[in-house]
Amino acid sequence: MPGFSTADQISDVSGRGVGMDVVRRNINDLGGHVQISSKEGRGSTIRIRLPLTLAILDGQLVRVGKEVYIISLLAIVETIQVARERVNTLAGRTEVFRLRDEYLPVVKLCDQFGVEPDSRSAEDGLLVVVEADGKRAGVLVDDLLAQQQVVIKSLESNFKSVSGIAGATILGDGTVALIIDVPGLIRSVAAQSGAAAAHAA
Amino acid sequence: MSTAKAAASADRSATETSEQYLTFMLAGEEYGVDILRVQEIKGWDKVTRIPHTPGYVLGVINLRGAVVPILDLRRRFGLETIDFGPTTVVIVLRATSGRDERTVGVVVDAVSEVYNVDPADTKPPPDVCGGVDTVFVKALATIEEKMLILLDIDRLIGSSIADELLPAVVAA
Repeated sequence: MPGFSTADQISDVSGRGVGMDVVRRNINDLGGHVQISSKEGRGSTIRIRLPLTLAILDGQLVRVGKEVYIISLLAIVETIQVARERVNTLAGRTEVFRLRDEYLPVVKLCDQFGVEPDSRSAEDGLLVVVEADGKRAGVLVDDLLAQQQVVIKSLESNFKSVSGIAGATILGDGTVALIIDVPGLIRSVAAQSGAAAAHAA
Repeated sequence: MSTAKAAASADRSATETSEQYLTFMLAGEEYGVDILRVQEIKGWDKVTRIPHTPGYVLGVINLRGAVVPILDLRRRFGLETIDFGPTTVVIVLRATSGRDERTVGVVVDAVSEVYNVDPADTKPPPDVCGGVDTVFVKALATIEEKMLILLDIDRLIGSSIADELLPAVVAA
């Protein structure tokens, strides 16, 4: 008989050990397992083993217009507000800003992801300086929200991989938020400006 | 005893040959999907948009912890879009492609009925169908003098999401 019960008295519905069966199924779904051993008169030992590979990420929630995205804290170097005089436009296209002794490209998430932002100009929003594969860029967002740990859920399992997106997660209010693929974003921006340069030439 | 057995076997043969289809409305036409592929029907709720996707991919929702994409079937079929109303629903379907199984929601105008359709009563779609992508149409069925368009879920979802080139499309 499957099931585990501590009840002295059982009825048609209560004390049938269904609860532990639910626990077991949920843990199996996560790739773990439950082991129960009991000795009469002594007690029971319940061992729950879970894999460590549940992908959890420390994330910074950022807002662009009405959308919320997550950037891995590991990729973030710093977050700054830039003054207008520190933002320049190269050849009328790519915006760069000066961060101490470096010039970094401004990546506008609103343009990359096609969402309507509060503002398109770099001095009204916040620049999240990110780094991946030794390259840096300033990602323009409207606002910084909370920092929290998020569980990475794959987009591929029911959909497909999307460029610039590493995955998705479910926030506390039940909505889905997309996790930004920082290396992919920097690569695609480099490819776009390269294509634009080639087109101009 | 023997009559009961005969009745039982007749019952079984009826369930074996006829297939149940859930039908829904889309721009005045009634479409049917294999009911065994329907996971659930839920009301329209806000979605999280996904960048770099075609217009008919409305976004993703949280379906009890799973991230599930939502497709707008009107846009997928190139029909005029309407504002979502009180009857607008999301039909959550399970589609397979190869070994993978996907759970995907489709937005339709309204759910209609569940019909028993005998495969013998269905007709293949005509070869020439102006404007309608007949690759997704598995068959046409006539129920109570109405035409039902039976959809091939796997082809519909597969071509909508994975840009999988279907043999029929390649041949065409």
